[in-house]
Amino acid sequence: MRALTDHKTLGIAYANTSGVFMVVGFLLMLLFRWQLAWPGQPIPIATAIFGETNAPGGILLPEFYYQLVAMHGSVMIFLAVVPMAVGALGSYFVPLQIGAPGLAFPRLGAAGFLTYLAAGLLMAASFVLPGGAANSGWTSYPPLAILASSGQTVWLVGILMLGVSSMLGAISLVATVVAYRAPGLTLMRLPFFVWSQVMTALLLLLAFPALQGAAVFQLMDRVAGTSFFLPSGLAVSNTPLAVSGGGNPLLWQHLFWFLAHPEVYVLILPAMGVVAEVITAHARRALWRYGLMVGAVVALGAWSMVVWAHHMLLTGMSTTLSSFFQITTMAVSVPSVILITSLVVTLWGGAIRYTTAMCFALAFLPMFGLGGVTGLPLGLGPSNLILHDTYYVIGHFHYLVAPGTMFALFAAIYHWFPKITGRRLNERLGLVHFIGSFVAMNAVFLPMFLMGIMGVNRRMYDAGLQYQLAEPTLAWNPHMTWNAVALGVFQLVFLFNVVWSAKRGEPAENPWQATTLEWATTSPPPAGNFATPPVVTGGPYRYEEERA
Amino acid sequence: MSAIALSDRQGRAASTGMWLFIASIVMFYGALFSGYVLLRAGSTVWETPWRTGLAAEWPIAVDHWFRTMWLGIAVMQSRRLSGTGVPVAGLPRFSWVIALAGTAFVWRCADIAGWLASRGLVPATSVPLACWYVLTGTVALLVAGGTIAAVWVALEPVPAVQRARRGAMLQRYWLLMFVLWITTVGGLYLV
Repeated sequence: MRALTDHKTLGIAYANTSGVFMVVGFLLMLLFRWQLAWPGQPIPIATAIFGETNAPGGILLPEFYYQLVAMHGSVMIFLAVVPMAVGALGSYFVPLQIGAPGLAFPRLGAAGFLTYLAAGLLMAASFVLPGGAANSGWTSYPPLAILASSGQTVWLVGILMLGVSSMLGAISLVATVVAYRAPGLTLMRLPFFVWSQVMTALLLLLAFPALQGAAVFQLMDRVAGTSFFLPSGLAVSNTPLAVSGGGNPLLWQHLFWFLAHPEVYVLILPAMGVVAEVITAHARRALWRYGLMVGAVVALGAWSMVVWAHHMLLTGMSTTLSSFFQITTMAVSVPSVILITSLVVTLWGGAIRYTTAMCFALAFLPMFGLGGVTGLPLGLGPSNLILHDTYYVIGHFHYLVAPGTMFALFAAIYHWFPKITGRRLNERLGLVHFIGSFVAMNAVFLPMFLMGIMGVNRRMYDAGLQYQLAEPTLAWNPHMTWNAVALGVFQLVFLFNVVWSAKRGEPAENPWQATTLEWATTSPPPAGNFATPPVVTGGPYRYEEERA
Repeated sequence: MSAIALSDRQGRAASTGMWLFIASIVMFYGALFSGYVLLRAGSTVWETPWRTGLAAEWPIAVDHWFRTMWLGIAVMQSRRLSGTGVPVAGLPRFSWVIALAGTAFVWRCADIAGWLASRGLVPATSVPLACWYVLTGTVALLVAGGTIAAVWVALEPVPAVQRARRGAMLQRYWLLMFVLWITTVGGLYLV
């Protein structure tokens, strides 16, 4: 606990833990991708690992398949990517970038991490419960989720704990930025990464409680027999449920998406912040229209809280309400486009160095763009009618989060590894990692758009064997699965690079000659971060000065 | 960094942190309350036990008046802790009064819940009752948290300035509790 009160130790603890959860989430994905590629074919040693109840004869049962899918989404979003983007990067670099000696509330930060760790272990351990882990998707829609096995209860408790963890971490981070900035560091001199982290923290603070409220209702439905989400007259297998009824399943969707749509921006905003830092340093250019970008990131965060019901366009809402949410959804793309445009224009006239960090940051731009553009048809009622619940949706959000946010996270690791360890990651291995990941990632997710347009439903255990419309796509699934395996292999290269370079990498203090404040101290930074408290006299990106 | 500058920063951080915490609590309770509003607005029948015969046995108005009074005492005492961050003499004593008032409130909530349950009126009975249990239970839990915080402020030996700052934080929290309780009572019984 005491060690975790240092923000650097805390950041590394978040990075290691979320990294482990990322591997877990990835392995879950490989398992269900096997089933999609070769439906009903036995997986070698599956029975030995998962037992006869889950995989008799090595064949995944549908019940187990849905556990894998639900837990893949939950682990990746709540336990891997968000803690990596906010907990790890935010805790480590925000105090450094504002010239602070540490977090404003170190004990709060540590308590947030421990709560996150406990929640993660609890959710992961739910696989051993009778009936297994949660199996109602990461969205946990009722009434299905209320009738599901006991793993769903553990999932809900985990979500409540993660909400507490997010709140503690976010309070600590925002208060640090408000109160502990170095002298001279005005708000408009903050590095863009800090702005993105503050907006992310505010979103977590204000949106996560809605899901916690919903989780309390659903827990009551599961544990105390209430009917918040169970309508009257509900029957399962022709047997009426012995509950009072009178609830509304759509209430869950409203409360859930009130968090879960801003959650998408929780995943994206830190990525934008990272990419901005990497592009400025590796293109030797100040951010184009910094003020506009700050306005856009604030607008994006605020606007993201009034678009949630575009996930529910097919639930029978009124035309007026539907129109409102379609308009707000189209409008939220404006600040996103401003951000991407500013990042692209920053490159104009820059002295670009094609380092691994820069390659990942550059790849983020079109990948995120593709994810964003493909979201527009989903935000409009008529096209949503066709694409809803198809593989198109999977392709869309994975382009935002996988080649989008994940590439930004890799860019962050390659860019800031020298700051953390005092050594550079090997560039040659890095480029192998980048090229392999770029090709494999696109090979996995690009076909999903076509599958979705052809009407293939995203939730089918057998990949659509029984549907004529899915027939042409069945042959694609093995290729996608092999590419997912290849993606994993290229991550092994990355892991080797991290372990090897941490001990034997080329020593480096500030290999990118970056001008933001975290590079003004030694690498790795000492206790208290700065030998003498820094005084700021200008903006964060002073690359134009070196040209002059 | 000088000691005064550091203290200023700690004060600003504490104040910011408390406002953020309050915002988070408001959103949490807002989610619960909006759930209640949506369920109630969408129901053609909303039969609550206190409108269908139980009122004679359970003097709701008196009971809630007492509970509101307990919270009121807590808020009034918290206002004496510190309004300006200036150290206040006798702060621990005020904290103990707050803790007592908070405990009385929580005890009364638990007592009423037990009394209802003993008559078979458990959360599973109906959605209106489930809403009653969740909304009042949530406020009771938050009040219990504030009570623990008041005890902590009273017991932990810290410099007077820091204690005064904690008192100011406590004051904001108890005001929030009062607002939440008034909203709950108004929403459950008066609307």
